[in-house]
Amino acid sequence: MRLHGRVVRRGAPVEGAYVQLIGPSGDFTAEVRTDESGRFLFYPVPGRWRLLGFVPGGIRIEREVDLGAGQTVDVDLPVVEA
Amino acid sequence: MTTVDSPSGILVSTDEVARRLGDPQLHVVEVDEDTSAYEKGHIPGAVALNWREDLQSRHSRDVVEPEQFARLLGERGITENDEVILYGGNNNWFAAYAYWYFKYYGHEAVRLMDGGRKKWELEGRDLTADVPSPAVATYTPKPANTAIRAYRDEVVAGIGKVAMIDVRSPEEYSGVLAAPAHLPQEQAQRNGHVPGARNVPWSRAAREDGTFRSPEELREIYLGQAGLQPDQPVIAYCRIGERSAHTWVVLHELLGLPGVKNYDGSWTEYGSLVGVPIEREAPA
Repeated sequence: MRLHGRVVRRGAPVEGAYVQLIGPSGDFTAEVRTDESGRFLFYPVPGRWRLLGFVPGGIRIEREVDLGAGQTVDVDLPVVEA
Repeated sequence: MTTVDSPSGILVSTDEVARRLGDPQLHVVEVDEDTSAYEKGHIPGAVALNWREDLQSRHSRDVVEPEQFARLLGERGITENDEVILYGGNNNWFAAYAYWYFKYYGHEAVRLMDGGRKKWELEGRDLTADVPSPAVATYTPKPANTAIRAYRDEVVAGIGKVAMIDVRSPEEYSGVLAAPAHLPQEQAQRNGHVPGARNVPWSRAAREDGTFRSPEELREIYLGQAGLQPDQPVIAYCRIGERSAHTWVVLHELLGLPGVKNYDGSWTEYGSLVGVPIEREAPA
């Protein structure tokens, strides 16, 4: 089971963003830095997860994802400029 | 968020590190979970310690001998009296492990850059791929301080008697996950936790930017909500001893609880032991 995706700014990948995975319990579960393709990857279990993205410049992105049994989910975290 | 030096003096802000770059008295050392991160870019002047290659014995699952530790630091131009600032990724997990390791071998002048690599990067500060070549120094090894390290027999004997803090995520504690969710899930033979251990995830001690919470907040989390007593023996563990080192830093160094030990064998050891009791909430 995988939860993966990209951090993007105007469709272009953002390398060096930090993506945090918050578990169904509300606690931090894992954090990764996006690669040159803006990608991140987690191996969670079924449940409702929250993704938090941090991008240089003080930008914070938040998105909830529901993951069913056996699912692989691909999500983009778009950077919204202030 | 701007951070200030901790009352205990072991935390250094990114601002202070930036101000002191180039100071020949200062030795900045990166220790990352992602051991390739340093090569891609690091704080100018920083040297690296690879937690897997440098800090683990090749002969058994253990820390390296004191002479090897001394050789590692000497090769990086560091003596036993030098000022060292550690930093790393993943909210300083492995930098905190290295901090505990330095203290285990009696290095006094060691501090952590609060927020670690993430904070430095998100603040847009300089990184370089240039690797420094410091002159080799003589580091005189010291005997290990075994009072800050717990072994499996102490953990097993302490069930029901010693306060144990499982600092992994609730999903790992309950047995739903075997490892942090950014890692493939093959680790110990069984999932779960040491019977009686309380789950206080390491992350409750950190803000979103990776910096440690204030002493008042930490006291509320550990002495208030978790119910630890200041003078009681405490054993902290996680999966391989690095997140529990983060909690050891909080309890022993920031809150000054003297009886706290890090069980660096942690769940990958305990969860593979034959015949020991395990609690879990998730279906087996």
